[in-house]
Amino acid sequence: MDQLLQQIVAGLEAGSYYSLIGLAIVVIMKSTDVPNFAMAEMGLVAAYVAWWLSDDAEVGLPFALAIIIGLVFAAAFGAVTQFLLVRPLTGLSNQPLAVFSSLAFGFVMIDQIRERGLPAFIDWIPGLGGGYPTPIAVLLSIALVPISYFILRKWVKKLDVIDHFPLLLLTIGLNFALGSIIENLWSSTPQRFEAPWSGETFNVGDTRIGVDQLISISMGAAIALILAAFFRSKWGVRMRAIAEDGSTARMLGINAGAVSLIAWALGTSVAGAAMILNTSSTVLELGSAEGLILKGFIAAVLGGFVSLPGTFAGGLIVGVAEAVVGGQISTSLQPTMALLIVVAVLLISPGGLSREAKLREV
Amino acid sequence: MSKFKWLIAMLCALSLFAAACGSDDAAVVESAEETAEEAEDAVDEAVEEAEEAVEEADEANEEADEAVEEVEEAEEVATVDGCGANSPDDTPGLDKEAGTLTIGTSQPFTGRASTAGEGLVGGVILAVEDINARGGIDGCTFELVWEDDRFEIEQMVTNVRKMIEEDGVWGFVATAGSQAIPSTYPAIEGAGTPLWGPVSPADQDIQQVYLTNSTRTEQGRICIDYFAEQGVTKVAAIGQDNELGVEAFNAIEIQAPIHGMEIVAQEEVEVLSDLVAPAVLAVIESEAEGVLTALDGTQNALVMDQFFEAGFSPLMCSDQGSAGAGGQTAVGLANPEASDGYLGALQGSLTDSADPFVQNWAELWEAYDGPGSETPSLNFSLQTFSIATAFFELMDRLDGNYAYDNFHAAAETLGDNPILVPSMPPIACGPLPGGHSCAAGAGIAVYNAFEDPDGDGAGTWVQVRDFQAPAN
Repeated sequence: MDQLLQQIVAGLEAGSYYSLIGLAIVVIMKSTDVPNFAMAEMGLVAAYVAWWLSDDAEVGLPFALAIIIGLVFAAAFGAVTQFLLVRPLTGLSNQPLAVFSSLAFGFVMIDQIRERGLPAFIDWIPGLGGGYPTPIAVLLSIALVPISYFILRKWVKKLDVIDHFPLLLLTIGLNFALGSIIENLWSSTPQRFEAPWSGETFNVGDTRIGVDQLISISMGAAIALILAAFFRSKWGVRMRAIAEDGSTARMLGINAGAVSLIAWALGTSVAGAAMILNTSSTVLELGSAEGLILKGFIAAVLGGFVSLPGTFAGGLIVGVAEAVVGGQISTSLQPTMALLIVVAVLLISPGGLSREAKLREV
Repeated sequence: MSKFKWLIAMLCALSLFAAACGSDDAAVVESAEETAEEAEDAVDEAVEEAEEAVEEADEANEEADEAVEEVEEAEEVATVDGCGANSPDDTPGLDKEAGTLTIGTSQPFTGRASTAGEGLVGGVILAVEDINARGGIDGCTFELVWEDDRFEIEQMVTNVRKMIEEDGVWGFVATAGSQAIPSTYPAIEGAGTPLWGPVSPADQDIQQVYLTNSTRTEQGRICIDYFAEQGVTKVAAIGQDNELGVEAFNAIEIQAPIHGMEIVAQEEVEVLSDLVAPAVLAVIESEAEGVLTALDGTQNALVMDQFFEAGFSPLMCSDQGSAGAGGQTAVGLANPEASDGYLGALQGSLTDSADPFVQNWAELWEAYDGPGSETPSLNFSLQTFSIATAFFELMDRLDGNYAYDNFHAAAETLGDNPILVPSMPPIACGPLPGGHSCAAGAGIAVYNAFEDPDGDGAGTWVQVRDFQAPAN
């Protein structure tokens, strides 16, 4: 019995991470109507930022402050991603992307021109090779920015007809890109990201419970409740309206861009919380997100990609089932449990675990 | 003609005149005759001397010719000693004129396994620089082409194809990354390119592939031998749900019965999953006294931590790749109290070994500032340095004939005359089937998180068992 309780606690801890990633996926699904395959990786970026700020790494801030800044960064990161990358693909203006790209191009050009002269492809023009003084490099780059802006504006067009497929590909590409960015910024060496309570345990009867387990489970439940409350607010209702019927919602005066931006900020914060909790309880490494994204999607499927309670419960069920079946029957069955649950739930209730949920075309 | 007749007539007349005018004394006549004979003798001697001189000159000429021939032969011999002179002209990677032989390696320099990969790359580069600094082998220096595979199967296959087809490498040396290497076998077999490295899983009986280190199964068996020496009677295994786990379970099933041990648990953990708790709880429930693990470094650290938090302290041992024995890949992520006493199998010596070979490596590594020089996992550098050194020793035995047939012939007879690199078990390959698993045996090291009574410092690995083959 003690062993079973121990397994359930371990399952609830793992399940809370699955639930939070699932909730983040659902939040974005509710606004943009696209499954975000980069969700866990975006959360991992926030976790790395929090670690980098903490006293385990370079900046040396207290753990709590590092986490708060990490979550704020996650919100900003989600918003910037929506503003620059998602907007053009959802029928909204492509101006931000073109402006950002042009400025980035100009910034890179300053360095290139200063170091090497004009880029190699026009080096054959007499007199253009070799390095230029910084002021000339800056002036030349400024001249190049508007040119690149007009090219990019023509080239990167917003979609006239909203199609989920490019958005889907965007999130997959973003997943890989973020992995590379993390590796280049912080290396791929696994890191310890210790919370002040790491390693602390207490007993309930004969069952040993880690403080980090308790915090992960309770934080998961708290975030789910906060999200549920949010979706009953004005902005939450607007978000659901956009997801249900974007065109009608826009005709009713709902600012689809702002709603989507808030959803991406919120979703990325939730994913950041999931990854911070997970990595401070285990180890911070590149592979942390890979292990969670699939289980997060399974939780979202169990919530029908709509229901927050269904998604939260789905994540916990998967986590507990893995731990209990692994412990009581065989650990070799553990990896298949999540998929077996999905198949069973979809056969019995195709819309997921909640009455709120309904089958969506993804 | 008439002048000639006149001359003869004059001579005859003069002779008559001389005879008429000369002494009619017989002694005078005799004297003239003697003088004439002496003159003839002198001429004969002169002719003989001249003939002898000619003969001596001929002999001198012959000697000179012989000397020239000897010089020419010597020059020919010198050509035979040049780089790969006894090799076919179409030998891949061989440039006789430049005196170079190109070899390749693919390593996980970036990506999830980069902590190991940086050291692996650095070790091979260092070995090549070292052999070249010593003048190479039989007139050949070595050029190394290396590629980063990010520990991804597709990338490793791409790298191997590129190095065969574009770079034209002779063979692959010390290529690591067990999970990906078997995917490259079709390309390697197709081109006939040898691969000399620490490959696991076990020998798949491929002509081109030589396994230079003991497999994970053998290392696991040696862990269990060590458990037996420590009095363990109940043993468990935790492995990933892939080839790593399969090898650990093979090891425990082969070796536990040899020592009369009871196998009390065999648990799996999903790849990349942090959910190790079910396996940990099952092992705790089994009351195992010794636990063999085949996990990644992070999972090993989590298992150590959870054992410790539960107050459960069995002997825990892993293969070298899994344990990161000699480095910090697993123990550096666990609490010091949890990692203290963790055991790792050793495919090669520890980096602080007093052996002169290892000391030489350490000095070279100290001066090395190339790719991977910043790695904290020096043990991986020593590993590939040793493997590459063994490879060069084998190449030295080929007498400049780098044809693949000659290489296989020499490699497959190493059982009679093994390559002995002090930092690793003897390499004694044999013919197929089974003979390309060239090294049997491993050592055992223990991790001291805290300073121990023997004076070993905190955070150090100490070898506690010599290289030995598994008990049978």
